[in-house]
Amino acid sequence: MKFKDYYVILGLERSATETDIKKAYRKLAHKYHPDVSKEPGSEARFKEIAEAYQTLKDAEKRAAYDRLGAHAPGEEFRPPPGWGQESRWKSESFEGVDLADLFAGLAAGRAQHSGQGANLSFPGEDYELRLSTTLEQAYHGALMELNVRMPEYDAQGRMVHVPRTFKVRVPKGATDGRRLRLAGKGGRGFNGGRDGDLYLTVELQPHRLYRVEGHDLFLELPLAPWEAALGVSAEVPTPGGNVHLKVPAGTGARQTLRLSGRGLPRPHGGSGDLFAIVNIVLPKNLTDHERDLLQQLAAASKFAPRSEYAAEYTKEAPHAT
Amino acid sequence: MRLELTELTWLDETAECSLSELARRSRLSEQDILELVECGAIMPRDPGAARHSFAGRDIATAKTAARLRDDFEIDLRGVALALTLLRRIEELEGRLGRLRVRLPP
Repeated sequence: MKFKDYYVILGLERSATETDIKKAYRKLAHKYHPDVSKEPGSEARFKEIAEAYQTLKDAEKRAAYDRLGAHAPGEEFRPPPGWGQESRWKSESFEGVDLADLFAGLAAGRAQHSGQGANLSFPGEDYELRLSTTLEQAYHGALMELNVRMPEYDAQGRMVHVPRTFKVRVPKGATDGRRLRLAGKGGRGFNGGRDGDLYLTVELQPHRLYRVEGHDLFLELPLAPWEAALGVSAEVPTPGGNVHLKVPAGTGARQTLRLSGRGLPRPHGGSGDLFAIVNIVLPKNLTDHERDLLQQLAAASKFAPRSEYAAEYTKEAPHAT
Repeated sequence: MRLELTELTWLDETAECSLSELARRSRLSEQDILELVECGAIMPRDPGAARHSFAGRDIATAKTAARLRDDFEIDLRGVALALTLLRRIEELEGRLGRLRVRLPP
């Protein structure tokens, strides 16, 4: 198994006191706890921190950890012969065993020694996972394979990590933040304990064209000034296929046109809407003819786009100091 | 190896969950959950009913409560306050998101 330096993870010296350990943990928990932290990678970081704290805060576990000796983080190692006599781990294979499992085994071994362990049953662990979906998958639904390293008990009641694969049907409407459950697909229970559940939180990947809010989609609709002025039938993409959107004459910038029911499906029926937000764009380079026509328009038009400023012009300008 | 297809169920306002189920799934005690209800951190579907029932999404809230209690070593009143503030942050982030999608990219 791979070595983890619990002291380094908590930023401590090996000589740290119980108070030092608690203080270091609290500080790091505030920074990295996944329920309160928005830092990227905080979930994995907190898992390590919690694992280190669980072992080092318990004097017996800490002593057992110290007896493993110091190794480089990530180095393959085996506990020395005779290590952890009281644990459920004797000298047999350590396959699939994480360092954390070793110390969970130590606690279980203690319970057994004190006579509580004989007929003890444990419920299986719940397991939480983030499920990354594309907008297309949220629109159509999707079959996906999930690969997890599930913590569960072996026949001797020892916690090990087992690779498991599930094929799931992600239903339509699986948008950001939605939660799903696979009942009974968490870690298996021990000695008659019920199996845990697998919980999924959906994370919708950003899309090149659409911005997503709940089940509504927002799309930029670029229009040439003459299209905005005269109206146009514009072909626009939607996740269900292209549609023709009738842009009325005299449409202004930032005006929003709604395509009802063209957003993402809702889990229990119906769909969100697609909103096309008008953006008026100009060609980078005008041809001579285009420039000529626009100059003719500028000369002929009586339109005063800044007429609302007129009232302000009559006021005396404040003196610069 | 052929994999069996597993159906996912939504954990949202449509799923119903009893007090005992909520306790079992979150590993909080029923008493703890009732205390969180009293503080307004978890809202039952039917506040006036003799036996409370909850929405599926409350399972996620109760599991968060258990994590906050254990990982930060705080009491339930502290947990209730944290849950209320987390919900407020979620609402504000939602409002920010609704504004952001209307702005040019």
